[in-house]
Amino acid sequence: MLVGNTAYEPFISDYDLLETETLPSSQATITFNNLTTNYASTYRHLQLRILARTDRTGAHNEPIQLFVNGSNSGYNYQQLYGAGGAPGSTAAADESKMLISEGATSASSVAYSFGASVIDIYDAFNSNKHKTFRSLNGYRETNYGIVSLYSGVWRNNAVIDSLLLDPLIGGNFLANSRFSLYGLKAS
Amino acid sequence: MAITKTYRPLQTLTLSGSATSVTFSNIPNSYSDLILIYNGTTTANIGVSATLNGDTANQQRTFMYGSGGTKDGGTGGPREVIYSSTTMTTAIVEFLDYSATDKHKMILCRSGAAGVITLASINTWQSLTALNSISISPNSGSFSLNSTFSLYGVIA
Repeated sequence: MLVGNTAYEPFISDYDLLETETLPSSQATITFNNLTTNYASTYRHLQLRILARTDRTGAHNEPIQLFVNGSNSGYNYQQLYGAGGAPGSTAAADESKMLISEGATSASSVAYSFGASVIDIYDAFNSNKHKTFRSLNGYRETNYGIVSLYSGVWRNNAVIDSLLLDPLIGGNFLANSRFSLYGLKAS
Repeated sequence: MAITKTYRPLQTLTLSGSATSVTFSNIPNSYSDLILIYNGTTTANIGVSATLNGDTANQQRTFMYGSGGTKDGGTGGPREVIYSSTTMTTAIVEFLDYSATDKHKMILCRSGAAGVITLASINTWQSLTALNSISISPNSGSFSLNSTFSLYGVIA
C-alpha cells in the first residue's frame, strides 16, 4: 500500500445470487438441483424471488406448489390472504405438496401481468430441523388481485438438495417468468 | 472468482426536517429488483402513496391489514404502498423486475407500526417503461425529522 492510499478491504458478500432462470418459452416446472453439493458449505438460508405467469385459463391466477427433494409427503402450510375484503385463511396438514404462493397470473390475465413471490427458506442445510418456509406473494392486475402470506413446513430433517416449483392447476409457466435463487450466509 | 454484489445500497435519505415527499431519481437499470426500506414517522396515521416516473395513474392494489381487533382489506387507494404512523413505522417495499420492458411492475409491500397497524399489499404499475424514479408522500401531512429511506438494488 502506498502512503496516503486507502487500505484495500476485500469485498465479502453475505447475500448472493446463486441461480436464476428467465424462461424463453413455456416450461412445466422449475427445478433447482444439487443445492447441497453446490451451496451447503457456504450458505444457511435460501430465498426465492419469482415473477410468474401460467397457461391456466378461466381464472386470473393460480397457486404455485413446491416440492423439496422430490418428496410427496410431510408438508403443512398456513395461509393468510386478502382478496379485496376481510382477510381469510387456509391451512392444510400432511399434504403431498406445499402451497407457497398465489403469485402467478394466468393466460386469462391482462397482458404483461405477472404474479410476484418472495419465499424465504430457513436453515436449508441443517439435518436436525424440519424445514420452514414463509412467503409474501400475490398478483394484481386491472380488476383482480390477491395478497397472501404463507407459512410452511416440510416435516423432514433431510438437508435440502432440490426445490421444484410447479403450477398447481395449469400445465406450464409462460415465457418471461423469472425464478431467482439466493443464498444467505451465517457467521 | 469475481464476486458480484447481489444486494447493493443505492441511496439512503435521512430527513433533517419534515418533508411532504421523498424522491429517488435517476435509478439505474442495472438491477432486477429494488427494495425500499422505510423507518420513520409521519405527522398523522396515514397511507403513503408512490408516484412512479411521475405517473399518478395506472396503479392498482389489493391490501389486507390488522389493527387491534379489526382486520380488513380492500382495493382502494391505488397508489398507496404503505401505512405510516406517528409512532415509529417500519416498511419494506419490493419492486420486482422494475426495469423490465416486457412486464407490468409488481410491488410487494409490508408495513407496520406497533399498536397501530400491520399491513400487506400487492400493487402493480401497469407500465412497460423501466422504473427510474420513485416519489413517496403521505396522503396528508408530512414525514417527520429523522425518518430514513434506503433504496437497494438486487441483481438476478
